[in-house]
Amino acid sequence: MASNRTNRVQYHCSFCGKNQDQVRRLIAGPGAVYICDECVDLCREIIDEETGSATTAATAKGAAGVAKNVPAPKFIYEHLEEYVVGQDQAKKVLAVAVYNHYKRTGAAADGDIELEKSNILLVGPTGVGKTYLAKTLAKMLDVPFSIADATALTEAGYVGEDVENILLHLIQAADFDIQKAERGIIYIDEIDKISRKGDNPSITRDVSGEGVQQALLKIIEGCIANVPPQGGRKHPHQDFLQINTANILFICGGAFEGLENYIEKRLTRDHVRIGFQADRGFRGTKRKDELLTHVTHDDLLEFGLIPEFVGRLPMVVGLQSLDEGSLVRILTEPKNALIKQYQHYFAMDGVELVFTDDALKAVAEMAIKHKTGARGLRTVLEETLMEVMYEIPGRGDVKKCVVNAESVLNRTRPLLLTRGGQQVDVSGPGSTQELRGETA
Amino acid sequence: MASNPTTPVQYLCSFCGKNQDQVHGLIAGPGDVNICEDCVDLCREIIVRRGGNRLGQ
Repeated sequence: MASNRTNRVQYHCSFCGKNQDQVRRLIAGPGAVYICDECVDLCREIIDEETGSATTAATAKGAAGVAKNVPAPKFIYEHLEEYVVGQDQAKKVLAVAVYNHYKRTGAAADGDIELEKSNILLVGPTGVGKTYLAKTLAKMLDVPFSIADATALTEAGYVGEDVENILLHLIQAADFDIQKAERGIIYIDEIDKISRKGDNPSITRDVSGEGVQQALLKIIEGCIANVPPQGGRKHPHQDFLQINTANILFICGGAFEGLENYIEKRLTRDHVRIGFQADRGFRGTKRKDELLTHVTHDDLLEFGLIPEFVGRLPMVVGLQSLDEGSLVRILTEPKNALIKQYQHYFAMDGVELVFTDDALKAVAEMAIKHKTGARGLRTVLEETLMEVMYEIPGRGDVKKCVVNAESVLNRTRPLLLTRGGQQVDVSGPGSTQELRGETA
Repeated sequence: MASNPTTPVQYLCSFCGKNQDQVHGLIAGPGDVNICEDCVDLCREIIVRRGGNRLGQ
């Protein structure tokens, strides 16, 4: 045993040369590099000293750095504009919020005035781009960004994810650099799904609704949260990552289906209508959007969010549902527009895919009927192109595929053209039989 | 800067491999050993979190 101990490999600190018995702790780097705790402390001191002695210079540099590196709200807006169509108000709010977030985290170290955050709540029907806005933001920002899903959360102690896990995702996005994670942004999706489930007569606890909202309160407001590094539930024999959430910006998004009814009720409460069709005040396609612009905290309370929670989300932004014009722009304009995606698919088979203008309009028209927002576009396109995507790869002669309004609306086959511009007559199974019938 | 061929010497952090342009402060040890500010912080965290000598255990 003793000889074994003396023969043990000796590790030396690469900085001071002491071996592992002489220091409290030796940390290994890649290869044969080690550093001891004393050297770490020394290095920390050097860094502190350097930044401390040059305080004025550093702060001046820091302030200049913030001004230089932080993208202006207009720049953020323009970047969002490249990917997301419409939703001007939401884009502006997000751009300003992110800009202020940068400024706040940059200035947190010095100054007498402590800057506090303004969390955001995005409200809008499904498929208008709430999550997509968040994803686009995440790609452009150089602060850690994570997208969490509120549906999976439950109160601590119940089966399901604890609310601390949304912080874990952020820490992971920051490569376990807690300081970096403390300047991050978290997007909580489907926040409306944790609303209180009505005035339920049942005596069971609402562990995935109100309970989650209560658990989120402290995290959203700012506290030192204990996050289990492996995720999962907390237990006593586990070390925690401590993270201060005071500077983490929270953006919540939800569809709040049915919220417009509460708004309407509130708006029409004062002027009572009597007579047939008296409740036809707001009707038509614009009704919902019109109402959502009037959303206040009261309506969210009615919907089932608890007052403490709503109070911690001071900015409420309503997103507009998409009309035909916006849908057509979504099809063609953004950087990864749907049409571009399908053209790419077809290009892999050496086929050029062309949509006529009225075809685009038809696709938008059909998508509106699906009532799933921009997601409906993909459904319509898949249905339209399904047949040709089945047919084309087997044939070498097709060079061009033209989709017109008719093929979208009536599900007829899009035009297939050869290199010379001749129409390819692909007979489907039905017509083949017809042909056979004629020849026989 | 990093791609500039006239930059004669590239100092790399021996722990994370980033060069002096990518990190805030790089502290040189004897020989060809350097450590950056981020790694110092990381090491300190490790020490604070679980004290004692990991290699000695």
